[in-house]
Amino acid sequence: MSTLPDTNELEFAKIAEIANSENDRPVFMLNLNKYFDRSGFINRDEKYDEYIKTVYAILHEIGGKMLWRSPVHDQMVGEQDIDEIWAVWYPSHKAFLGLKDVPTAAKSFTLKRQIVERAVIHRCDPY
Amino acid sequence: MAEVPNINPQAFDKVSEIASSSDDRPVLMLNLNTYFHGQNTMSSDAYNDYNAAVDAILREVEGKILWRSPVHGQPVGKQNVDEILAIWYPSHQAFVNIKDAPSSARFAEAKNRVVKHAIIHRSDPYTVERIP
Repeated sequence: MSTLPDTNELEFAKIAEIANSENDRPVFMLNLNKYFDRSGFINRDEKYDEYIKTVYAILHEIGGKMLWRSPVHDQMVGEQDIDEIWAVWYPSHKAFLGLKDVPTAAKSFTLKRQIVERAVIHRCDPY
Repeated sequence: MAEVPNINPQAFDKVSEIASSSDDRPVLMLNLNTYFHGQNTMSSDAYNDYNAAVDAILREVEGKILWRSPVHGQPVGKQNVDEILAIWYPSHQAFVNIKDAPSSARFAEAKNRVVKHAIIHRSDPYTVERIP
């Protein structure tokens, strides 16, 4: 089992509650990523490319989908320094919790620590 | 012309520059809204008025809400956001046109009654990638 950095245990407890209930359902996670090296991301360098491949591998392993992803150019209103947005769909809350246990997790989380300076993941309803 | 609070003039200048160029293109604006009364706002008349104003102004500039969702929590990181809206505009010019659209003043007034804080990220329209 691998561990994700900067997690909120209370929120994970809520997700586990849903995952273990009869009301488990698909969930949409909006990832706001800030990278250590913006140019490495923009240029899709080898390190970023390796990381993103592990992300897709994990999603394949748990049945999730990257619905879309986009670079962030700037903020028209307000301030938040991020480089990329990922919109990720999971078939269930249980699938999201299963991330840490899939075969590619250890490699992906190791790469994440090298590439992602900080992240916010918002739990939303699927569409 | 209505004024938008908390704007970043440099970002607006950049958008205007693209809008005036031969390279104008669709754009996705990701709106992270925090409401005065948290998610309780989302069951208020003021919120309904805000949504009606959003719908009206997007009709006028031909933008579309691609999706929207309340935010239930953050499994990773921290940020106080009540709702997220992903809004597509057919061009940067369309986004620029918001401030001069017929519903602009109504939109600003309705927004100011419910939105305590907002961040609008400018990003590209959807790019879906599949890695074999």
